[in-house]
Amino acid sequence: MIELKNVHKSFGQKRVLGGIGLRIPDGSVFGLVGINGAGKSTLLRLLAGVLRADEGSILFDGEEIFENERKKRTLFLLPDDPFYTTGTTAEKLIELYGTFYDFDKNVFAEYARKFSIRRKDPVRNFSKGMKRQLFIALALACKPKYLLLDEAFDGLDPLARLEFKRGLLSLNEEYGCTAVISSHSLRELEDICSDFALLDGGMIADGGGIQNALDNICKFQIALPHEAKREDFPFECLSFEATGRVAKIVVRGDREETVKKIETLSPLFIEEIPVDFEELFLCEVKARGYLQ
Amino acid sequence: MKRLLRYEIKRNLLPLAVFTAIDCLIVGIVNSTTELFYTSPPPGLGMTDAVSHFPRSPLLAAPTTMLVLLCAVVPVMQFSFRMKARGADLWYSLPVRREKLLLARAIGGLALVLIPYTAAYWLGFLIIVCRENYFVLSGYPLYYLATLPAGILLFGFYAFLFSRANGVGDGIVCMIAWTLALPLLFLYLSNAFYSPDASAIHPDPYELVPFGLIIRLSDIFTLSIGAESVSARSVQTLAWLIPIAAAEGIGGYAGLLLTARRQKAEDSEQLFSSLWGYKTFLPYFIAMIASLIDFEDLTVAVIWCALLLVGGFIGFVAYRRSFRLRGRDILSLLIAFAVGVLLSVLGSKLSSGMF
Repeated sequence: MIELKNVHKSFGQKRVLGGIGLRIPDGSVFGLVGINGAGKSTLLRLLAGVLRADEGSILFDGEEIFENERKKRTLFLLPDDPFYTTGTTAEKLIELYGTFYDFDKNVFAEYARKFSIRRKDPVRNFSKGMKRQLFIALALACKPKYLLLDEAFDGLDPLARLEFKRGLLSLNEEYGCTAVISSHSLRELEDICSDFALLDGGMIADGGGIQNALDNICKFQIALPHEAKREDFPFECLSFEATGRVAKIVVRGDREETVKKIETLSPLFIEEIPVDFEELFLCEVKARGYLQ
Repeated sequence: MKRLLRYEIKRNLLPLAVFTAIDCLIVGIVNSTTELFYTSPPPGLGMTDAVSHFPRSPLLAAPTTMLVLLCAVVPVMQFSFRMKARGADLWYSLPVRREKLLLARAIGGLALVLIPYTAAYWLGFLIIVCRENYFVLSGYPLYYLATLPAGILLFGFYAFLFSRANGVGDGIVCMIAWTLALPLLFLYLSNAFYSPDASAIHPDPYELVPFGLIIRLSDIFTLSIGAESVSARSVQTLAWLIPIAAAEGIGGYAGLLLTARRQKAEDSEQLFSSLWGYKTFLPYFIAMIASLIDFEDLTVAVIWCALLLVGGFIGFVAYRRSFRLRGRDILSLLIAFAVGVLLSVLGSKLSSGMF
């Protein structure tokens, strides 16, 4: 289990994380979401032991991670822009990671074949997506117990995304790998993540099981006999849009109770629309004033 | 650690081959083409000397220069890994403690310095042995053994200095600045407290550069291998130079490893705000250079002062990477300049015996 207890991190005068408390159970695929600058990358780097928290503790199976060589052997960080030197090839990267991890060359070979990775070509000549594919293959081949991925899907084509998700789920099922993924591709996260945390202002603004969160909100399209206005809906809405007599609302809470409240407005029709994770995210950031 | 060292050796194989080839090429060319003896006495030796062949320089300069260069260049190669944010993310996320990583880099760096030096040195020696020469050949192995610890200490010092910075450029500036720090101080002190007797036993300011010990050893062995007498002063200055080099080198290694844990990944590519950086050596240099200005010729002194203040301003701009300096930077510049002027006045009074 990964546990963060009251973690604070500042860069100079700028506070990035202010009192993060989080539990990531073993075997989960955990999504980390938030607007740009929310602190997702900082949190991942803290988890990887790259940064040291100013306050609080970050525990992996009860042990502090910072400078814990033994525990870090079970952990792999894939940043959004991984480092490589000018002349680096896939072969040299295999040597590097093989030095520190229990590298499975067969797993790498399998992904190298799927992604058509050219092992002896300099990485600097790869496209953005190809670099991403290479590092994903390396990450999966290290078979870590904890996999930390920053902007996991960035640059990947739909086929590569599918292969990556399959590889991650396979790692999760076969080896009990816990993955923490930060991404702006919320649709992809919804496919694979069991839990999530929404970072805002250096704090966890929302979190828990994705399915629970989605079950807890409902979206309705309602036609009223008159022009729809916000005042017509005297209950809390995460989101409200109106075009003429048709309103779309997103509400957090019990579905039946919400329908009863809407029915008191004598609508012409009520239609429930499925809500996805991206919509939930947009509602949350709207509620926090980031989106007008 | 073994795996890390093995990886470090493998990673450095190509640079090692390149450095060794370049070192051997330079020393080989110098030692093959330079005249090894005079057939008439060199200037300063009287015609009464009966020997018809006089040794020239035993060509220690080439391998020595390469040694010093490697001790300065290799730390830049080995310790710049954390000076890019992406590099820091990689190396600090790997399952290796920072002390071990730095130790492996230091060991790898020493191999990159000592192996090319050793290969070039003995190639150069072999060339000399195969040519007609009039040298005391037993001096060569002794010189080699003397320069090994000196080179190791120099590498440690430069590795420490370079790794204080957050960027490669700043690291190189730091190495240059602290190379000149002690000589500048002694230049001022030797001007202020000059006496003929004192100069007999303390080193010249230029010898107090970090590679001063290697230079002094090179001078001593150049004379002894060339069968010339070595002055007592030359040997006596070793009493200063060895402890200074040892303190710098051992301090460098200790500082490098003991401060490893405190190195922050988030400092990569940031301003060099360490106490080893601009905010210390800029005021120091301004004060020391100002202290060397002779204010008796006011016209010339004013020009020097203006140049110094402009140079100091440029230094702070380089530090802040912006023309918008802070109030404390300007204050620091002016106070350092004032202190330097005071030191200059004090120094001229001391040297003229007024105190």
